[in-house]
Amino acid sequence: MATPSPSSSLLLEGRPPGLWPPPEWKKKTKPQAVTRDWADLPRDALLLVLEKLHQVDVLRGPELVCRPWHLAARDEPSLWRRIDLRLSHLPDPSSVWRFHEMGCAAVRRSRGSCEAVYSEGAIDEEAISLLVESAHLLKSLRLINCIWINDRICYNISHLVMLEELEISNCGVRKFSSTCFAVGYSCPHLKRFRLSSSCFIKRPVWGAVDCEVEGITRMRGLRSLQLFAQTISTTGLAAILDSCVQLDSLDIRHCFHVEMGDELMSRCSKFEILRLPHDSTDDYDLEFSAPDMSTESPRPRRMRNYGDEGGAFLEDVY
Amino acid sequence: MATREAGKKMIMLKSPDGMEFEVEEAVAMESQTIRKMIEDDCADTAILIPNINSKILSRVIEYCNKHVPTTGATGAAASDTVAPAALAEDLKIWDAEFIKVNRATRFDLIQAASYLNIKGLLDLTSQTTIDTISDNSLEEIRSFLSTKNDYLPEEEQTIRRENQWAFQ
Repeated sequence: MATPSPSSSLLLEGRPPGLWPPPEWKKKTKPQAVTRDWADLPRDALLLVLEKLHQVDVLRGPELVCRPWHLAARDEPSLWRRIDLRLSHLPDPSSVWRFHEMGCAAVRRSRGSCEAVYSEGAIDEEAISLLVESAHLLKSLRLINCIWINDRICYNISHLVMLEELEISNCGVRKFSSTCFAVGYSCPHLKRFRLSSSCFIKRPVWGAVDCEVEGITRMRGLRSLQLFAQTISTTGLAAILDSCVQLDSLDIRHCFHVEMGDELMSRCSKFEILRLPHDSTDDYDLEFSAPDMSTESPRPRRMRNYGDEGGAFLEDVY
Repeated sequence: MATREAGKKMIMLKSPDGMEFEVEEAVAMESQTIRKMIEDDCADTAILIPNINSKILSRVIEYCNKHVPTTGATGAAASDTVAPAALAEDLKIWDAEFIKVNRATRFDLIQAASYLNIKGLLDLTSQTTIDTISDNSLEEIRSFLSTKNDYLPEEEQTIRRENQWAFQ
């Protein structure tokens, strides 16, 4: 780059945090009377303030206020070690369609030091591919209402070998068989797995029951398994119980294909937490709708080809 | 070393403008920074607190006095006969009154709490600030913080491009 005047080159390239704010600006912004310029707040104190804000708020406002605040929010990976982005923190629902951009920004800012992600809607495939940088640290990945993801995340998720907790909830009417398979093979520390749909559909969508069972049976260290409104069968559940011998918590509410016979019941009775298909959903934490028990498919469906890596998917045409 | 008075160890805190405050050691040790100094035996006759003027330091001491865990020793309201829940409620009301200060003082209090590492005071001051920041527009936050928009025009363009979600 050509050398601009000294001050503007400093502005463009940024300064090491210790030198903020540069002396020449301080002169300009010297407070009069009893006002204080909050841009002068020491970085330590500023981070404590920013840490208290919802991350959605940090991304939407304070970091744009002034340069020191922007740099603190952007260049401080510790702020983004635990990513927590929730739709309910967005004051204006119209910005939902840009929410996944905020997710990517948050993951980028963690610079490979992300330990946990709780995301309601903000994580897309790109964000998951960026999370691979944090593969040696990331222990918990909870994706709720992330409608941008599908089973293709299996390629990146297989790199997250330290995962102890994985949740994929209400992420559209999709199957995650390859993802379960990848996680089962690659994540030996996985202890909690949750796969939830918002609605149980009895008729075979995609013609398959038990898609995810093979993957789940590979998750040998699993302690807690929650499958809500999934199409697993009685034999599928038996296979899971055979493999995941360390399970002590099982929740299969709204999995109406499962018929709990005496044998299954006796095998499950040792669990600390046990929720069966017809159990009450009063304390269920996510949105769901009444099960669709019709056996015929009223909806026309079409094949959509996602190209080489994605393969073909059936989609409902609404 | 520090003086003793009625069986309680006293510590002298000095502000850079020359004022001296004698406080109980337990009160001073609400600040993790001072606790560390005392534990490392760096606290001789008096501890100089740089960057914090006497006005702010006296307020910080007032806060620590109120929040020191000993029962009934300090502060008129902190009677040891009061049930813990009532005491907590009382402290909450006291905190709310305490933080009713102008922005400049709050700024200084955050800075002091951050330097002296007093968790409760930090939580209180930063939470109050956050309540003001959230749900406000950029310009409102700027005017609240008495901060000028210090971006160059081209820099602001870049930031707007990078943070498009905030400018729709």
